[in-house]
Amino acid sequence: MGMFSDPSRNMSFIEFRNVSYDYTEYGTDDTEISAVRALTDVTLDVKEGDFVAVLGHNGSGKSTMIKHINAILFPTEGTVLLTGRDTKEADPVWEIRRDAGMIFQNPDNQIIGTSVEEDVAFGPENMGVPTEELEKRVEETLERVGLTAYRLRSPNQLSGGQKQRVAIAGLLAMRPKCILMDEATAMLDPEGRKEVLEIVHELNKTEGITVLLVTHNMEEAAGADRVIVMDKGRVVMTGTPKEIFSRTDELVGYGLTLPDATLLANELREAGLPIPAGILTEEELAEELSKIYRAQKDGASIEKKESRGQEDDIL
Amino acid sequence: MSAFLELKNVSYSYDPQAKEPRWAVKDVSLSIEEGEFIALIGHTGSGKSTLIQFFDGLLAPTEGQVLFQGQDTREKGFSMKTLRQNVGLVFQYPEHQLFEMTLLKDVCYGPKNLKLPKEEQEARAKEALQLVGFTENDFDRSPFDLSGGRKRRAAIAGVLAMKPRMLILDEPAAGLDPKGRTDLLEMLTKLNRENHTTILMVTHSMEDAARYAGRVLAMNKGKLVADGPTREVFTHFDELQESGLSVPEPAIALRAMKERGIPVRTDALTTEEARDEILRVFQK
Ligand SMILES: Nc1ncnc2c1ncn2[C@@H]1O[C@H](COP(=O)(O)OP(=O)(O)OP(=O)(O)O)[C@@H](O)[C@H]1O
Ligand SMILES: [Mg+2]
Repeated sequence: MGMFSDPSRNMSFIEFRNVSYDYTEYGTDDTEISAVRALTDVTLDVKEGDFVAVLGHNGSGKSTMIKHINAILFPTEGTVLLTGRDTKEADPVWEIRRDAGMIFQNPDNQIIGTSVEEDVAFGPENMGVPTEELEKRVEETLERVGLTAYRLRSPNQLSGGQKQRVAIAGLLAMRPKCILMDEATAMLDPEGRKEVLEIVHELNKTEGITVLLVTHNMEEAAGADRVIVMDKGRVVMTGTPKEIFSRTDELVGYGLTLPDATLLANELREAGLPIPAGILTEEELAEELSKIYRAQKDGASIEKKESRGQEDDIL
Repeated sequence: MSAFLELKNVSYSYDPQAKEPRWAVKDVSLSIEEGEFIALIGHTGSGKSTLIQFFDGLLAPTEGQVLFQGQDTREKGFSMKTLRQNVGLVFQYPEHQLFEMTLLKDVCYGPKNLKLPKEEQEARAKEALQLVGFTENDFDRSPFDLSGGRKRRAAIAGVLAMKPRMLILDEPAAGLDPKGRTDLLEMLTKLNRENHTTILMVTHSMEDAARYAGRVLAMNKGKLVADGPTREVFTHFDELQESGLSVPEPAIALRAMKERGIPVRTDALTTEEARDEILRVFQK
């Protein structure tokens, strides 16, 4: 880097400044009849390379919020900035949509091409990427999501998880800085869920792609760097998964719950086992329990030795 | 006595004329008794959605028999209408099919099609709405103003108004928030216990299957690879994994403990059971 520091380093990657949003409902004669407030005064700040989970009850405004990031929706009040650019002033708007791509819930609604390859090429081709470069990108991204062997297959023959990976490859081919996932694993079986999550975590880690993951699954949220909780159109909690999932009562008040491992850890702590707070996964819990177990066993064998010692004395 | 529903060596192909037909369902036999609460698990494309359509006659198997109370559904005298009235099918995201201006009108739609008298239509609709947790105050509300979970329950009431003895639901809790999910599954449990409605629920959640179902069916590549009491089925960790499935989270915690040399049983189905098993080992 030269004399000047890169300004984008100090800037927020995604920024919401006092954003409110109203859906307008129209009557049969196209007159506005009412406005539904879906976001109220949302202020947010996401750093480049963050992996953020978004939680909240049905209708809390999660989808509305993330649709602002890639300029599908524009704030009624306030400002949304992506890498410092006001989404309202972005010209052309597809630059924003290229930088932040969205994966939706239903894998079947996102497939356009008749072959996997064609589907992945669709976005960049529309962007005007030259043929040679296009082929290179398709090859690279299919490799990246582990679907090279499927490049000529019809997307209809793929599993849900594979379809979602094709959709991710399609985004990657546009070289995005950010991936928005709106309950993109909700319709998948356990295996499909796992493969999709692994891919996005890896892209986040190795390529620094920022991820926003809207989910109703607490285990998925536990794996994020940061969690945002929404309630009735407002952002009501933000923090690390450890922080958020230690505020049980508040979460329950917002209609949410804890990851199963945290729930179990809490129950065991209440029953008197010395388990530290902040357990998020089964592995962490098992690790803590095995420490306690070994300590108990060592303690027991010391006791045994001691009592044997006493017996010796008596004898 | 014959079973409520029975499949005998049922197979189904979407291209039966092909030289080598591909089988969406292959040689499945099972029987369902009234009053059961069954979870059907299996990865995408394993044949679950095809299988459930035999139960209410939407699909006829390419090979094999479907028996309703001992009667072959393909025999001449058998009326598919009987089957459809006894077995209600709730598709994924059923709330997309709500369309009337009020809840009551929407739920009346089915009974109306049965050409029942108006009073009977309304009586049935009201009963169904109450079964899924609505009160009289809700009857005239618009279904579109409801939360996601309540919309879904309204749609289920639409099927219940037909008074089926068995309800088949394709991922009934998909897309619902944690509270909506629990409320819905508790509602199904109540329906099963108090109303004796037989329930078969397709789910991707091993936790929901473990907590709510008494019996689990697992499909893989069109075959029924497991059929048994819930606890029994979830002890087959390796086979489940091979089928792209898993065991419930609490059992995963216990397995992780066992791997670390702690002598716990690993067949707990719920958090409470896992807690009790861990405490048992630690309080010895
Ligand atoms: N197209 C629309 N027109 C009118 N109102 C809408 C529209 N989409 C959403 N809303 C309303 O905006 C609010 C926020 O909805 P949103 O879909 O953003 O919530 P969500 O958190 O994504 O919910 P879910 O968990 O069910 O996906 C709700 O009150 C909803 O009813
Ligand atoms: Mg949403």
